[in-house]
Amino acid sequence: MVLKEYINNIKNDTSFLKNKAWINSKELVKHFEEKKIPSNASEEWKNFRTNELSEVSWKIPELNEETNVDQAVKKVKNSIVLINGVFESDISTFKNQEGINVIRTETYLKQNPSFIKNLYNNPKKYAENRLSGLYDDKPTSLLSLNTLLNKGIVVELEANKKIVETINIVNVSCSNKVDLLINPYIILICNEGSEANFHEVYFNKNCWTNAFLEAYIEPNATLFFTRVQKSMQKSIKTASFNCHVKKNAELNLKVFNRERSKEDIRIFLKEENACANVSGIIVSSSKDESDVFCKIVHEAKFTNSDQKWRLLSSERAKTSINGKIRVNKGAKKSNASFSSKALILDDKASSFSKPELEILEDDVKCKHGAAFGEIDKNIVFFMQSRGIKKEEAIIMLVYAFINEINNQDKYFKDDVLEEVEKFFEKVKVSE
Amino acid sequence: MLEIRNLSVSVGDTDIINNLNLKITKGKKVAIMGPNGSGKSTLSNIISGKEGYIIKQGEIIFNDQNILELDPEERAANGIYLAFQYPVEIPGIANSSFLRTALNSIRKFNGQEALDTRVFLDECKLVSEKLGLEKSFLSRDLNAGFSGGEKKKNEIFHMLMMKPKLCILDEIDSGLDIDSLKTIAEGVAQYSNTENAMLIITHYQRLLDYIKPDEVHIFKQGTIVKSGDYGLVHTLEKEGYKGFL
Repeated sequence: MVLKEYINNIKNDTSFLKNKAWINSKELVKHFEEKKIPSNASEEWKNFRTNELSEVSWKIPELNEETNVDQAVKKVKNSIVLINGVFESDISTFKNQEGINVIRTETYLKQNPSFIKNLYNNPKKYAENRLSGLYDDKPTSLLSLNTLLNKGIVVELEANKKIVETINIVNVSCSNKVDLLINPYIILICNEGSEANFHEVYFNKNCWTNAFLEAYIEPNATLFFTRVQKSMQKSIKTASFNCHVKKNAELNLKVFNRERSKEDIRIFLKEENACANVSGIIVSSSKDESDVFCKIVHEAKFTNSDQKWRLLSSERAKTSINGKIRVNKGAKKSNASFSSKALILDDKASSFSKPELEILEDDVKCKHGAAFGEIDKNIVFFMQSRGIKKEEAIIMLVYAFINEINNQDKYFKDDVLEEVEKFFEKVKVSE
Repeated sequence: MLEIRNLSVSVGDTDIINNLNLKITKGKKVAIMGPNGSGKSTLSNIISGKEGYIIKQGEIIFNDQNILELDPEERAANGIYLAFQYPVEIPGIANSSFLRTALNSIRKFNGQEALDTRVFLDECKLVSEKLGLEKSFLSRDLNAGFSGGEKKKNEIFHMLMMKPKLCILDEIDSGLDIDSLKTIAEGVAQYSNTENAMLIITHYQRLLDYIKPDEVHIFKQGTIVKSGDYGLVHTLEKEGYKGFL
């Protein structure tokens, strides 16, 4: 079924989404149809080409559609596997254990109806509050689309449960033709005092993956979350990571994004002493672009945030980061920082960094910085003069550049090194 | 070991080296002194193979091979080592890891097996202790946050580990305190033997008092205007460059 037909069915047949009675389908369809797929006219999307998203006649995966799942996916330890956005318990190696549950959304909501109010069901929830006082809900139309289409899961940690072993979330989006639209959706709930590590990876082939993750970190809980975009064969990814951090809770987020991907990160530090550390590596080659919008909102006093980004562009590609810090009225004594460094490997490659500060309160500390550069020829000569080949020297320098961020988290580090190795297999290092 | 014949080099329209002839034989320590801008550092860069220079004429013969067509890494693998006047900083690469990569690249080029890690680390420990370097020196990022003296010591540390045939020391003494200068000079003097050669570029007598070069050349506008033995250093110290230029 093509997307247009699916949307028409929702509009014309009130029972069409009977399994998702909790969603306000009328409102969401209206939002998606009115705002459409974001265009470059929107500030958050100006560095990402969206024409393909609008032009292709996207298809919705059929139930029981066969997908070739790589054997390697089946071997991932402690894994929660989603195939074309649907949780596959048979392939997943994670088994529910005391203190943590993985459950389909509809089942979770039957058991916990009060949680419905937390779900994205209204475009205003993540609309951008402009300084003018107006709200802009254009960039969130893809969240409405995801909500209408997804067959999501809830991952919930019980209060005070500390999970030591990293849980791997594996998203496989795969089609034989280049027109499948996949909508993974995960709600992650870390109840009070809990702690866990998640490592999420994406494999995409011949599709548009429009992923959405909402995390709720309750008081005194800590979430370590890493996300890596692995293979991107003839694919596009748009992803949203929205997180709500409560009192004394902490989010540590690391992402690795690559070509034809757009990530939208919004973190809300809702109560005192909430903290978010976000870092990421954005890589792009060929003629592609990889773009991240990351906004951290300080809503309460004594909240802390830090953003560190490394961008790597080669050939004719573009990488970009728009890092926004907003300190709301009442968020006194808050600290926030943003820094980005971009390495441009070729004359025709480009990089864009836009730190933005919106500070509506006194007595806060905010800082930002962005740097751009090429490989330093003097350093390359120094390395050559010690016996290292020029190409190898450049590769070492790129690894050194990203290692400033990629220095912990075993799964993340290994995956990033593997992806950067592939990047250099494809990209010819300049003579 | 090294013979420079009729070498003329320019950068753009500016001539930097003018019909230079210089011979360095095995076992010798040769010093080049000269005022700022006389082409001393350019010469060290050209011997090591840095890009950006136009070789107008001449050749550089190293162990019977004209090396002008070789890449810098090939020259290094043949045994040429340049200790930089301004060693670069590389955050994200540990000093020992860099050195091991460099050594193994050279060994690979020369058809040798990669170094055993234990052997490498033991030697690192031994050499670094000789130079009075702290343990953490090896695990720190290459030259990142090092003091000026530490950077220069690290250049000598790399040299002692790489065991080159020709050591080019480009103002290794600049910015050093007396104790560091002594440590570095001792390291250089200990390494010097009948199987290798040294080309020492400096402005000052102090370093040469420790190393005691066999030959001293005074450089002006990219060529040698006066040659002599160690005694020339003292004459220069008394009279300055004016008498020679």
